[in-house]
Amino acid sequence: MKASFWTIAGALCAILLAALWAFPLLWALSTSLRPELETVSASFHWLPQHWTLDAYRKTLGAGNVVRWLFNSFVVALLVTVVTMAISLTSAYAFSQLRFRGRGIVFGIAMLGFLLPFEALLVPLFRTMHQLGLVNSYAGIVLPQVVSPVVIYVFKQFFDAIPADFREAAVMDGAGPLRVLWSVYRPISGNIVWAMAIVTFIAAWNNFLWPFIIVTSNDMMTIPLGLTQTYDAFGVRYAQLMAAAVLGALPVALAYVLFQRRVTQGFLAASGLKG
Amino acid sequence: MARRGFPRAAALVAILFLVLAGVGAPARAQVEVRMWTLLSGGDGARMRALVDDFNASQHDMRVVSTTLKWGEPFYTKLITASVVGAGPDVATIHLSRIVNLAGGGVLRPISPGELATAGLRGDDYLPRQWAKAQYEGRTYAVPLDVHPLVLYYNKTLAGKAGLLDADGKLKAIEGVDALTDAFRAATERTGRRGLTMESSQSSYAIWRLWLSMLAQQNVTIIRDGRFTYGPAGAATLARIGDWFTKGYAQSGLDYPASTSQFMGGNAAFMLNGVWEVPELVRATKAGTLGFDYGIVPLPRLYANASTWADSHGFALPANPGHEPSPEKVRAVLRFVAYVSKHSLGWAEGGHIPAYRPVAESERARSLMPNAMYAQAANDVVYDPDGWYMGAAGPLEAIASKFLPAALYGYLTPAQAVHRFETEAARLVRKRPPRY
Amino acid sequence: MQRDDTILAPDTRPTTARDDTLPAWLLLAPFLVAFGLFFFLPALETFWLSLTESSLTRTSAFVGLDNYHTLLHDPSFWDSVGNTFYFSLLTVIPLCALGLLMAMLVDRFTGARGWLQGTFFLPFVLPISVMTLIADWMLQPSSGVVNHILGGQRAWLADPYLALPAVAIGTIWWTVGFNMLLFLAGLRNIPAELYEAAALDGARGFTLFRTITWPALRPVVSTAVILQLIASLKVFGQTYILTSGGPFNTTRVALHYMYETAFTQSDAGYAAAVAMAFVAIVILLSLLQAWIVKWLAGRDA
Repeated sequence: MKASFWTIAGALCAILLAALWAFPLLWALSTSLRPELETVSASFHWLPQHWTLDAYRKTLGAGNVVRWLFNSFVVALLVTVVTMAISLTSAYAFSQLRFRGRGIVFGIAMLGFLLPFEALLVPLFRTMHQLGLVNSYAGIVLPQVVSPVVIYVFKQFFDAIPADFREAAVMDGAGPLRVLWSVYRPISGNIVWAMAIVTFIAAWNNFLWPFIIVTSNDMMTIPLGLTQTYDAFGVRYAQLMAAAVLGALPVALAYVLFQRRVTQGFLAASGLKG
Repeated sequence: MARRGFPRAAALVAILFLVLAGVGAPARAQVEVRMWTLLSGGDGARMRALVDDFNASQHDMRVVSTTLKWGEPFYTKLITASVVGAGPDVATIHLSRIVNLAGGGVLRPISPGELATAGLRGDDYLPRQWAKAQYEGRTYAVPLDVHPLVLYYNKTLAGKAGLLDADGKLKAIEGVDALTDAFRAATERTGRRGLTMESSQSSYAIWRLWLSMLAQQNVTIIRDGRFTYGPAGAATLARIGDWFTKGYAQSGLDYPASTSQFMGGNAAFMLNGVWEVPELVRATKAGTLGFDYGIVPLPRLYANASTWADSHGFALPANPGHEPSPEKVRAVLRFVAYVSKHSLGWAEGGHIPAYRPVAESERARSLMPNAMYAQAANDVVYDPDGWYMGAAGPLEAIASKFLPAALYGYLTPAQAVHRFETEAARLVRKRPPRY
Repeated sequence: MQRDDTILAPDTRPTTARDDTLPAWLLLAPFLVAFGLFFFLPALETFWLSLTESSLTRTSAFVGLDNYHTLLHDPSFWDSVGNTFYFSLLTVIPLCALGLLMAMLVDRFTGARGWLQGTFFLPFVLPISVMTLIADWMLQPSSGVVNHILGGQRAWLADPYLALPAVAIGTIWWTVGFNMLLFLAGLRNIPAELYEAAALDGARGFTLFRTITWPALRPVVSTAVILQLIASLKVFGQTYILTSGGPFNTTRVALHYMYETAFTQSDAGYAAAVAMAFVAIVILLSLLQAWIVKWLAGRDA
């Protein structure tokens, strides 16, 4: 009897929580499909009385939403590619190659865990200003490619591979880059994919740094642009929710498509949060 | 006519040829002037109309205007963009920010020669406003208007409270007690609020009123890096706070909520800037207002009739590394001159035009309801000078976060003033920064 | 780190590894350049700036420890730290407890696993501004759905007592999925035999949780708490977008104060001091938390 009590209580709990968690997104969707007047009307309805795509048409037409989506895509892609490249090579060097100062350099690199990025905003802004990179893709991307977490995860991965795996290739006279490419790349597919997706999502969602480094409307990424929609639309909730749905859609889709890898990646990179 | 028609047709054909031949070759260069404004609502619409009219009147240049969020966000963005050379070609600013922006290297001075080429003369502007646009002997902005704080009243409610004279105008109110009495009478006799005023978080209205009331007592706020208002600071804030604690005014209203309380006929008085005038004019015309309204300058509550005001103006960001070409500067000033000469339309926004040929014209003088408060222009006080001063400037931003807390009852007036002072002390002590 | 040392031990390496120095530095170079430019030097510069009077782009004077002295007596700074702690208090425990509960539900109801896990985790992958847009709309005083359900016309985000809790609730909705994932992984690592054995002994329901699940999850819980604590202390975007630090600065958190000082007051020197103090606080709290976890574990053992 007791077990069934827990089962029923658990099921109720699960249903309640799932409803609570799904509701805000469904509500945003429901709002975005209404005519603007309905959002402020005195009578309350869970579903639109008149279904319409008006808000989406206006959002895509009026704001800069398409441009922001494009910027986000470029930025997230660049961040992902560069982060993967420099993290893989450096993690490989830290794990498999022997050179003086390795421990110290690795230790310093891991300082990144301790020091929050947020504390560096002011000098970073000054550096970018001196380099003339304010309001540029490079300015948005570059500080985001330093990811001690990803290096740590890759190093763990390389560490776990038996040394003789590499020996054969080295005997054949292959250089480190070649070994990395032909020996390690084929077996590291899963972990690279997982980290790449996590990096992509994190870069797509990054708010603080683009917020600091972008001052022009045209260079904004979607998380930043969405906060400007108030100014663009005024208090028009159907349009604001349409913008929210449009901003959510790409990552939501990515998540649904890659759920398993996303899960893996986030677990591997537990430090990425924040 | 027919004879003149022929060359015109020929010209058209010629232009057509040029255009066709010019595919690939650069078309006749059109100077594009990028403007950032912080004007929203009715002001924004009127500025847009001015820009559109101007663009329609030009063929070799056009102005592209971007509206940014008013206040701190606008200035933060203007400053950070301008110091890295990514600012616009021209921006609307408040003249109260000139010391901050010009001193901080955000703006570029406009030389007498450049002004002359555009036909702009200092004498053509109200002297007080022209002086506000100067910094260390150089001109940094061209004034557009003056917009003081005024007292709006609802004639129906004020009448019920016995506050109107035989002509249906507000009886003169003198002294802070008299004003408080008026609010109380209106509250008690009408069952509505006596006063409505923006007082939520980050409201600047309280700063404006506080500054006016202190100036009326001949009390300065800051001198030589020290706060000099003494006990009058908290006492004055407490007088304002009284209206809220006694229920004459509802606390916690944000700007739209407080104006709609007045527009909806639910408050007898409204303390606000003149920029709300066009909304009243529009609603009256549309027949949706439901009451007659009147406007008076802020009453004399203490020794004099000082009233807070600010002015919009046009300024050129410095954009170091991307300094504007002489051609661009000429284009910007051409636009600015155009707006000055067409600022009668701007007066319909409630503002007092700064361009004298317009301000002193018969049409501007007789413009209603502006004539009801034209007097206020004689008594205006700006924010004191200082790098931290001015509309939505660092110090006002701090004030706007602490002073409203006293009206909400979250802090006592003394605490609110104290907290404002401690946070602001750091700014006041600091040397003026070059951004 | 221990694992490094074993690999580093020279005798385990083949002799060919000796000439790795050049290729190693070449492989490291891109990362080191980026790390140096965008992390290490800015970190040093933050410290240097905190000893100066600086605007956003210029440094005008060396002022020694003046900024730190001001900081100690700056009630606005301490208020912002207080708000940060309050936000952490409002989020850390609920996020961990709820995350654990959700993980157990997902683990228990295998039939609906994909759906449940997806529902709980999806908000976490959304941009912050999507969360804030939706929260702002739901919390509208007059037409918001929350007031419609609860009745009344509360101005959630404009009320000095409700604003921060409201932001905290939005944050919990947005980020709990991550903690759920951590706990889910922890749960999966508990051998099923343990439960079977205990069930044979007649344990069920809550007893199973107390005797097996909880002890096995302890390390995961402490990881989750510390990660969450650090994440909560670093809050900025949520409060900045939803309340701009208001009403009356009751939601202005430490990073927000740093941002305001640097970017609206252009007092980069003081902002750097705020940043340094903030980092010190985060590190101290993390150490304290780690120490408490250790002490608790030691006491139990």
